[in-house]
Amino acid sequence: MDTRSLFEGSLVVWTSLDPEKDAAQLSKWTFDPEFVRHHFDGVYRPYMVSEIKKKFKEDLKKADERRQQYYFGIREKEGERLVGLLRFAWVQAALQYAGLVLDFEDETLAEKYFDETLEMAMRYAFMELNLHRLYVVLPGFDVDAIGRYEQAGFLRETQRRQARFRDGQYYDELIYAILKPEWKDRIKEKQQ
Amino acid sequence: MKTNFFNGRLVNLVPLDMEKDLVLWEKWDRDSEYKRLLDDIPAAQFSSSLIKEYIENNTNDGSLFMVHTVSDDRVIGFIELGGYDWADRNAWVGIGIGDPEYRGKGYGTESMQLLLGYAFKGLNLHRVNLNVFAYNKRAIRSYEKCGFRYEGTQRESIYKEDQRWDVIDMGILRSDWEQFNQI
Repeated sequence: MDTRSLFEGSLVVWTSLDPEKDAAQLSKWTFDPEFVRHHFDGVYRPYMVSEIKKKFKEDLKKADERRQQYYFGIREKEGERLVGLLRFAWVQAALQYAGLVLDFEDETLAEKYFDETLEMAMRYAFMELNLHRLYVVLPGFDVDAIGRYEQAGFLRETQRRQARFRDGQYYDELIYAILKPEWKDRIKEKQQ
Repeated sequence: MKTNFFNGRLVNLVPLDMEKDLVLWEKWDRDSEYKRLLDDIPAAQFSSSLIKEYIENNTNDGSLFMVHTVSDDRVIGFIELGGYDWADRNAWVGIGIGDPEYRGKGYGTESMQLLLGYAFKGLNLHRVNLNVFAYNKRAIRSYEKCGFRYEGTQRESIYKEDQRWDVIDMGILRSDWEQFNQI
């Protein structure tokens, strides 16, 4: 048994999300349309603190009852400031797949913490959720995220032409995925 | 100017009749082959009264139609356009021909063609997406006949009969649709 913590890396810790305490910060993040898209239905708008509290309380309750969504707050190890939100979404136990939804507060924090969080997320997906397939849906304009997922071994599978509209023009929407055997091979290669 | 999006040569698309159609829906769901083509989650069955409750409480803004034959007004399946994103002007389509007598005879294809007319001319969408399971060759051919194009393969996304199967992504842009129909 691998005795390393699932939740504690060298730079970040994964913790619960606390709607009461975290709502003010999450509300600020809703100025980013991508963050809202990951968590809210309907036409884009920013959300106020009270809406965030209500929404995440309900979502966390549903997640606990149905076990199809798993939420984690990503915090800096020093001081435990919330820097990102991670969710395993649409977990299908019978089919052994799930989607990964990962946002950081800004690009500087992503630069620092994304890679470690993604390594931990893959281990959690394949070794704890026992998935076969982990996928992520990315907008074509997010070149930073695309590079990071490719670096981690995700393969581009689908290119939905002109499926995303941003700043006056259409971009493709991409599906990237990594399968458990591919992830295990990468771990082996690293150990050699 | 009058436009009718929903009447074709073989089929008419008609909103659901809550009293009559759900009994059929329940009956179609007993066909496990049909269920395995329709959805990747484990094939389950629900009573018509439970389906009714689900539809009544459903807050999504999708457009659900039952597929009726023109010749004798038989209800043979359903088609739904939903999951709208009004900024991207993108939506999803799902279709099922529940009555096995009417599969592979062009009823589904015409239903899809009607729905695409509604999507692009009526709703001003920019594109429509669908997923189809790699083993559903009949459906893939039908979608190609409507102008959908292959956009990717989600590897080993389905796990049934102790085997993994791929899921195909297809999409049609308004410009594809116009070109395809020589508009």
